[in-house]
Amino acid sequence: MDTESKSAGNAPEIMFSAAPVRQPLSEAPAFFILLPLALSLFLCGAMPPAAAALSALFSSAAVLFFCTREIKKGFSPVFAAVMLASAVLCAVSLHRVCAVPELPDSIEGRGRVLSVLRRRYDSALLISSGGRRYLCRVKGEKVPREGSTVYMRGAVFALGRRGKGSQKTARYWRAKGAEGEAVLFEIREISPPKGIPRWRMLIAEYADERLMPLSAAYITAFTAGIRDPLVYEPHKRAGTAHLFAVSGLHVWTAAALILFFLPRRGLLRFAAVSAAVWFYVFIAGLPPGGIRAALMLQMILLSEAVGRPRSAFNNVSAALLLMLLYDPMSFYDTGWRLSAAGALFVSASAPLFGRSWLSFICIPVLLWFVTAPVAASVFGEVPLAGLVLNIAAVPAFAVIFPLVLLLSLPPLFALPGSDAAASASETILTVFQEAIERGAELFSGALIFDSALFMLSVFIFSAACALRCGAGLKRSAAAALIFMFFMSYSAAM
Amino acid sequence: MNRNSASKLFVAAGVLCFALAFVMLSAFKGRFGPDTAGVSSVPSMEEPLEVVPQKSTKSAGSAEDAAPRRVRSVSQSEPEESESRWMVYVTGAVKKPGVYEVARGARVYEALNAAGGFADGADQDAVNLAAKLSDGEHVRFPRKGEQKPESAPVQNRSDAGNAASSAGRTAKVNINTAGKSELRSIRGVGAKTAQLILDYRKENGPFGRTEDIMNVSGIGPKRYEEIKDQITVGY
Repeated sequence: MDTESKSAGNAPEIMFSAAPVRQPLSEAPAFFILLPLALSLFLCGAMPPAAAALSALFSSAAVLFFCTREIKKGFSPVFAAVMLASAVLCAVSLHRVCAVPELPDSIEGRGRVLSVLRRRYDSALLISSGGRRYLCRVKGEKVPREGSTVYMRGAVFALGRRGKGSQKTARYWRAKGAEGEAVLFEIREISPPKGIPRWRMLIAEYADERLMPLSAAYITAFTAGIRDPLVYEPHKRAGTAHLFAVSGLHVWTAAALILFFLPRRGLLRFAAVSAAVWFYVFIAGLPPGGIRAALMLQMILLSEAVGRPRSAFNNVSAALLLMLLYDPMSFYDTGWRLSAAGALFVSASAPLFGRSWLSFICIPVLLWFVTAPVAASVFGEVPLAGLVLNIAAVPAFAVIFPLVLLLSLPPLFALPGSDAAASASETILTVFQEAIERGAELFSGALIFDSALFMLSVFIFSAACALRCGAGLKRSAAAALIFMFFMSYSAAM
Repeated sequence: MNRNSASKLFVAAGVLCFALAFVMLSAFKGRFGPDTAGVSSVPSMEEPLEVVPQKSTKSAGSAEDAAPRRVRSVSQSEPEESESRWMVYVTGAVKKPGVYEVARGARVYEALNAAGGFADGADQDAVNLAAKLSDGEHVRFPRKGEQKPESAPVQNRSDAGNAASSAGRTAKVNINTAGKSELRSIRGVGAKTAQLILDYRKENGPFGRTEDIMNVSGIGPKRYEEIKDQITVGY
């Protein structure tokens, strides 16, 4: 064994339990298709698509070579297949991203409100009309509700019409599916909400009626994805807002509750969990983290059904890849980026730490550094409290969430012991909320986006991924260092 | 090949690939990407473009065997030079739609040449290529099968006649050519908004359609509804 392998073998005994030499292409083939695709989408914001794709493919190949320590039989055809698939998918996705939609000059007729984002001075609506989606800004209190049908009349513009300053906003809305911006002369609701938005509204109303205030706010956020600002704000200050976004933890808990009552194997198990999980994700408003977790669960159940070994890192990569292939613009969605960075990092680093107690401290802390630049670049700053509070908040939440969910069932379905269950749920959440608020006060302060923070984030993330793919410590450090300079150079363009 | 040399070979290949990625990055950095695509139709030409009348344009040769004219994008123009030149906005079935500078007294074929000539599928007879241009004019070349402009190109001069009333009907103000005082004659447009319109036009070129006036800060849908019947972009 060479020196590198020895060092990789020694150090991991303490920190990294996954020591055996791995082949990156057999460990995580999906990751090596996802990497060039995501990288090309990142780069094409500032360089021609073909150059972005080539540069991304070279970088991906470089990482792959760094992670490969020996040639095993079948390496070349698999490598060629992965690179070819990456090139084709990059070309298709970049073509879709760069395509300029042909928009009508004006719009008049019916539309469906897909989402409503209330802001300080106006509300931003995403409206589907005539097979296209438009961003519409509406002032005043009387804003059409999500899911309602509206009559609208207005002029259509390309997104980002206000010039360079609005490009960031344009990208955000393009990621949400908007093709153009409609400046409305007239909009009025002509029929009430229906479909899934109606269900979500009913859930929120039902929870409000049957549960105590804090429990209702949490249950509405966990199930329908509707956040009460009064409850959500302290979490934002504490850097624990991610607990409110329906993601892996929520989906897995819901799936675990269902799986508990189902037979251990069989088609029924697969079908029932799949249906329930997708229903949940739809009701929650199709959050990126929820979709990613549902896709992952689907793959794990499938691998279980066909008797294939499963790898969380590869499953996360495959789920994210599917999401990008379905809609490449989702790469520019902050939710997708945070979910991707978080899930990839956790699935890459968790096996490296094994069952060591260090993992409970190191993973949340490192994860904060990985996701901080993404959050800081979008929200302006990222609270420092999250660095400390997440160490305790995430494990606590993993217990509180299912507990509150179970305690809410009696009052929701008018079962015996409703009052006691409702009080218990409210007490638990009050203590949790209080702790979060105190924590936010104690660790006040925030970091703004900084190139050093960005570089550190890239280094930690790429080192974890390289280690997970079997690069060994030295090679991982070298690859992460080069990749860090590459990313900071491209981001500085 | 033993394991050690294979390992070293992979590292070397990795370094080479990273180097190639860096080369690509530095060679193409800063070039436009999808963020700019479709946002602005103003082309940014690095060098002045030599424009020679194309043989394929029927009227071009017969109308005028003029010397090649230098045409630049708006962003490249200098103040003194722009005074002796006109700006025209060329759209529709041309190879490079955008805003171009042409010499005073230029004709439509020169604007067409500046825009790279006809694109595939252009209706080459729809526009009179020998017609004279005016400053701030929008020339649109339709495709085959598209509805032809009623009078192409329409003269958009901001002379007094434009603002005058005729037969009891008030003439619309051409927001592409109107000066500050003429813009102020629009009901609902004050001095400040008029200046904002001029600033916007200077920065972004002529308005493609009247609705584009809502891109000027301070003019929202409500105000547009009030003024839309008083304004035109000249075609």
